[in-house]
Formats: sequence, C-alpha cells, structure tokens
Amino acid sequence: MGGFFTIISEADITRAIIRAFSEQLEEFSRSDVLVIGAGPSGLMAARDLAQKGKKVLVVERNNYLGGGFWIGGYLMNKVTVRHPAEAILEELKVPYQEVKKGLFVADGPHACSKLIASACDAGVKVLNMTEFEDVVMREGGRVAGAVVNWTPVGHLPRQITCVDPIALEASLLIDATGHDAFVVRKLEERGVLKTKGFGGMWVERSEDMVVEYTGEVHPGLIVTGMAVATTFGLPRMGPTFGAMLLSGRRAAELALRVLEEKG
Amino acid sequence: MKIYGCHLHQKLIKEALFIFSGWMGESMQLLPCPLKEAYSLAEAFARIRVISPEGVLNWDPFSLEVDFETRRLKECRCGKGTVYDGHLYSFLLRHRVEGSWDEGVVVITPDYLCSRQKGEDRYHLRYIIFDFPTLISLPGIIEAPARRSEEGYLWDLGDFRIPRILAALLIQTRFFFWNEEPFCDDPLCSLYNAHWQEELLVAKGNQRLCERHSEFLIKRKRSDPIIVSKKCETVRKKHPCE
Repeated sequence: MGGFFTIISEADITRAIIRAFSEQLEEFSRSDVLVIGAGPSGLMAARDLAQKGKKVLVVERNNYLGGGFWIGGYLMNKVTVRHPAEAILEELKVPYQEVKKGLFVADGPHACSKLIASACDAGVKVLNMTEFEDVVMREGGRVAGAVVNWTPVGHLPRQITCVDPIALEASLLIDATGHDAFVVRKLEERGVLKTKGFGGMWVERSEDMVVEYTGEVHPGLIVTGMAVATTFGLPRMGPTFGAMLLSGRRAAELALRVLEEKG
Repeated sequence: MKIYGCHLHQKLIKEALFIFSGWMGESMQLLPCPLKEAYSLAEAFARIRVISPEGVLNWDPFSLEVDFETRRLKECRCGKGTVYDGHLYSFLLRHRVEGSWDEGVVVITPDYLCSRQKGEDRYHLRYIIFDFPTLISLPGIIEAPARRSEEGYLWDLGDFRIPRILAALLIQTRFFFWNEEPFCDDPLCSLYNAHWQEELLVAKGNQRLCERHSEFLIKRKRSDPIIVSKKCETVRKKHPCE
C-alpha cells in the first residue's frame, strides 16, 4: 500500500542529514565573519553582513536561536523597543504598537521568528548546540577564529565526553554572547585584555551606551549587544531590545569596514 | 560670571540667563562650550568615567573608549549616558575656560556627573558640582534628584519649569563664587540643597531667597566687596590624570 509520501529508506535519510551537514561545515570551516551567540544582536549583525554578501556563520550553544528575544521580561512574551529602533521592526515586517511616545511593543515570538527567518533568508548559516570554547589567535594576537565543541560535551562527566573540539577560522569574530561575554572573557583569561563588569540597571543610559561602545575591542574581535556592557562596565539594561538590534547593526557596519580595510 | 553652554541647548540656557539677569541685576557672558576643543583630553575623559557607583573609575581604558570620547567631544555627542567624576571633569576643564574664581565660571553640560558624599565611598548622580569651574549637568536636573518608586521623572528638559530651575542653579553658583557657601537650610530658599524632585521644584522653581540671603544679596549689590576665595590659590594645580 502506498502512502502520501515518497518511500525512502532510513539509511537515505541519515545519509542526507550527514551530507548536508558536512558540506555546510566544510564550506563554513572558514568564513568572513563568525558570530558567537544567536541572540538579537548577533542575529542582527549576521543578517546585515549576509545581506551585504558576506559569508557568515553563527555559533549558538542552545538548540533554539533568538536568546532572550522571545520573552520581554519576567516570562511575559511582549518585547519593547524605543525609538528609533522601531525602524528595524518595520524592516523585519513585525507588527508593533506605540504604547507611549517613542516606546513600542511587539509580540516576542513574532519579532524573534521574523529576525531568525530574515537572517536565514539573507544566507546566514547556523551551528546550534555548539559551544564556544576558545579563540584561534594569529600573529600579533589577532583573533582569527573560534574553537568549538558540541554543547553536551561540556555538560557530561569527563570520562564519557573526552571529545576534542574543532576550530573554525574567520576574518572577524563577533562576540554576541550577552552578559557572559564569553569571547572577551577568554581573552581576559589569557591576559590580553580586561573586562570591567557591569553596573546596576539603568535603562535610560545603558541603551545609548551599548550602541556607542559597540566596536572592535581587540584586533579581529568585535563586541556587540550586552557583551558590550560587560566589556566596558556599562549599566545593565532593562527588558528592552532597541539597543540589541542597533548594536548588532553597528557591529555589522564596523565589520564591513574592517573587512574592506583588510581587502 | 562667565558661562560656557552646550550649543545644543542654547535656547534653554538663554532663557535661564534672562531670568538670572532679571533677578540678580547681573549680566552673564555666554561663551561656546569648551568641550569641543578639548578632544586632546579624550583619554583623560575616558579615565574619569565612573564604572560602578562603588567608586570605581575607568583608569585603564580601551582604545575604543578613547575613540568614543574623541567622537563625543569633536562631534558634540555628549550626554550619551557615560557618567563622569564631576570634580575630575571640572579639573580637566580648568585650563580650558577663562575667568577667575572671583568672577565665577560655570559650564553647562549635557553629560552625567557624579560625586561622592562626604565620608562615603559611593558615587551619587548630581545636577551641580561646585568647583572651578562649577558644572551644571542638564540630564542631572532630570535624573539626579531622588524620586518615589511609583513616580517617574516629573519633568524633562522641554518642561517650562526647567529654565527657572537652571536660573536658580546659576544663582547658587553665584553665591558659591562669592563666599563658597551655596547652600541654605530653608527649603523655600533657592539655595536649598534639594535631594528630592519635589524639593527641587519648590526651592528652585519659586525664584525666592530667604531673608538672610536676600539681605546678603542687597548688601552685595550695594557695595560689591571683593571676597577673595580661600580656594583661588590652589585651583590651578595640575592633576595626574590630565
């Protein structure tokens, strides 16, 4: 008896998964830009860069992408942005409402899924369930890639997860790992730079500053989103996402400039 | 008194000067903001940024932070949220402004400033820093005074009461340069050291001096004696972060 679907063997399905994944991993073992962290700032940076024709790979330790952008705060799934960040919601075709002059609210799931889709549509590729372990460094201490491993490897007993990581090369790395600032902190561990932590929550000030301080913190490493706050000791931000989106955009602009200078 | 004002807030500053002159009978010279030409001090400004209210300054800035300061100073992009140690900020501007202690010099800035309470390590956001030059922080007028948790800010910089509040702060500055005592205990006097939003509104918004300070002002207007400040001999010392 035939069904609706084409008859395919289990082995064919397995081969299809392996082939597609390994082809992509092989192709993206060297990228123009490697983004660590698929929260709103990382996705935004990746999307803008891919739209400009750059080869971009995003590494995300969770299975899901989007970071905190699904939920606006306290498990309530409405996200807010302040002017002028609503222009990005407009660009992503996310419906939103102005609740107060200059303050906009949108559905978290809608906004987040649109951003993910837009990044994927632009050509961004993703390695999810993959954890950043270390940086690849070249002459003069320039950051030239990341050492990564499967997320579960780091979370199981050592005797059953003695799995070596792999390295991915890139002309530029973007640290979009949120408050943890994993990449920047790795450089701190190596004594290359020193982060400053972050202060108390202060929405009015922190959003502007996160965007202003987004930049190349070390040769080959751009920092974006809340990782900026940790790196530069800026105040914590409340549950509002305008700065994440605009910081991601700024990171992409800076990355394009750096790539252009490098030729 | 000489006043250096941010050119992005000239309308507000001119309104405040008009109120001040009408009240004090003293005209003030409005000069362009000294920060624009101070970009060679970008690194020093990056160092005096307050990282944490627990008294931590940014003594070892990244080049990115120095770039930000250069951009901020050159392109008039102050007030983006960075908070500075007010007295060190004043110190950095000391050689960038003209005028003597007795004359009085004030800089009105859109930057956030803070200072420590006597005997405390913790920084507090301020709307005015009495020093040479005295600094008035425009966002500080909105955000520095304490407010009850259920209420937001009672005003923004576009509020009609702000020019009067700013004029009262200039009067306080005038008293500071006259006798180094800019404060009064009377909550209705414009020299009252207001900590809460409502207090600031009452004290500064009413354009009123207490009896003691009104008398001082009348005497001062009549005789205008030169009061040499104790501090005027020491203010020109060079600071290590400069």
